Amino acid sequence: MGLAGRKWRHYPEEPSSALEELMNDYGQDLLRTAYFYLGDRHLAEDVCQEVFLRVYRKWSTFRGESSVKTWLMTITINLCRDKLGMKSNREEPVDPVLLKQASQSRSAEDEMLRRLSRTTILKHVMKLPAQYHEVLYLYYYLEMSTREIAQLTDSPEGTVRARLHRARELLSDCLQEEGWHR
Amino acid sequence: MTDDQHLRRKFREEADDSLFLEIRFDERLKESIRARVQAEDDRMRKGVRSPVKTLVTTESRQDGTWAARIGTPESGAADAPRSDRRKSLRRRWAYGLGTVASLVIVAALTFTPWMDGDDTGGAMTAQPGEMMIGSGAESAAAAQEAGDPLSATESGAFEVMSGAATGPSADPDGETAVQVLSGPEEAAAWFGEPLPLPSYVPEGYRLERVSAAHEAAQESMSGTGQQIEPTEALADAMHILYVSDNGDSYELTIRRPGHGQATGGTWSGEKVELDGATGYWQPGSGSLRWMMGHLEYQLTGSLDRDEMIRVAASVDR
Repeated sequence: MGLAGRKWRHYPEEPSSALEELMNDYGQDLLRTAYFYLGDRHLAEDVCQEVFLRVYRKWSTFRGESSVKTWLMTITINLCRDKLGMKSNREEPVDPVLLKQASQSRSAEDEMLRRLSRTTILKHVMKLPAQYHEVLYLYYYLEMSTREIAQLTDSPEGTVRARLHRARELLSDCLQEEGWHR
Repeated sequence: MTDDQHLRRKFREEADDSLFLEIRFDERLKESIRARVQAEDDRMRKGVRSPVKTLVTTESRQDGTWAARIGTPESGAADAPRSDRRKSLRRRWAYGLGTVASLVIVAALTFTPWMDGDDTGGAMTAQPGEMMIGSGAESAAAAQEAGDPLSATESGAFEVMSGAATGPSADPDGETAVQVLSGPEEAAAWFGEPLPLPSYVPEGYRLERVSAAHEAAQESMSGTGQQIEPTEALADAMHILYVSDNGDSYELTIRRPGHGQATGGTWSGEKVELDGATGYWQPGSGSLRWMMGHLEYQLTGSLDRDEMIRVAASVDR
């Protein structure tokens, strides 16, 4: 589902009913985002549960100032940052590939690296500094606009644009070295 | 297709096929979330502080009832203004004083027989229905022990998600209740109308559970002392879970859209043909939605797009 998704007002007012629909609409993206940040399936599931619990509690006070998806992703990323021990949004995200090496069994890690090595783009994305693969993930995978990424990461939109531009350049350099043409 | 679109498609494909290959938001995780929500509700009803790192306050809704509210560090624009928080704190004090007063009454009722020289060791002598002060769970337990049909939880009775039934003192707000049913026939009885179901079930899957949900069951359950029986429109949503031996699952939800709920006209996603109906496939969430008459259908879970379409197209029209 693209970022726009369903409008807040199109969800049920009653929190339990809204929770069911939100889980259906955003559960997958939310879990994968938590996994992208944390690199650990069990931690990602913990975060996912906590996000929906918070959303359930706050549903009656949410007024749709941001899109539902931006709201959910903001909570998710903040919780991930909490788990990683980051004090604020402005700190650099941790490289999930490094975290994986610390948290996963050898066989799971090998399998993941083997799958990554067969990709064309992603293997280069994951080698970029964390601030760049974060912005690439939010922009290309979650289909967020730079404005929404700015809101989500508590950064000026100009910074997000510059970071995205630089990330594209770095990625393009890597792909050209391999002779990949889009 | 632009470079950016191409890059986006490729990025997504590769991430789904490598990094996220085994990362699925499945029915097991949904059940865990539902259980946590229910446990939190139970704790809130009992006045126990949540273990989650959040600020728990109480807030008055527009209709004058009390609602739990959790503030979080990232709450941002959704947070209430400061003045509301001060009011909320005052209400919290009032609520706390009320709870203390209730406890004093309970203590007085419990110890009165001893103070009167009763030699029965303070055993309860009150009749069923008289001792309803206390937490929802305690009240429900007492009522169940006394044979109160409204609080029974064995198969065939409602389980109120956000707390045990508390009889006439229950929160007048509508609450979502869920009930596990014996099968599709019983589901139709609770739903109040025939429920067309898919005739096609993918190989390896079997029907695991049928459950009914209703947002305002509490109103019809409380205060009357009557046995709950299936009546027309007692449930407005059905959840039908199919599982396979290897742990995969998918769920069909049939819902009668109510106030404020989405209908087919507002859905997004890829339009797909479903034997005369139009469905909306949402690849991000892996779900398929469609309307059949006035009912909304939704499939979610482990099935791929084509299998979901096949299941949806097999619903008897």
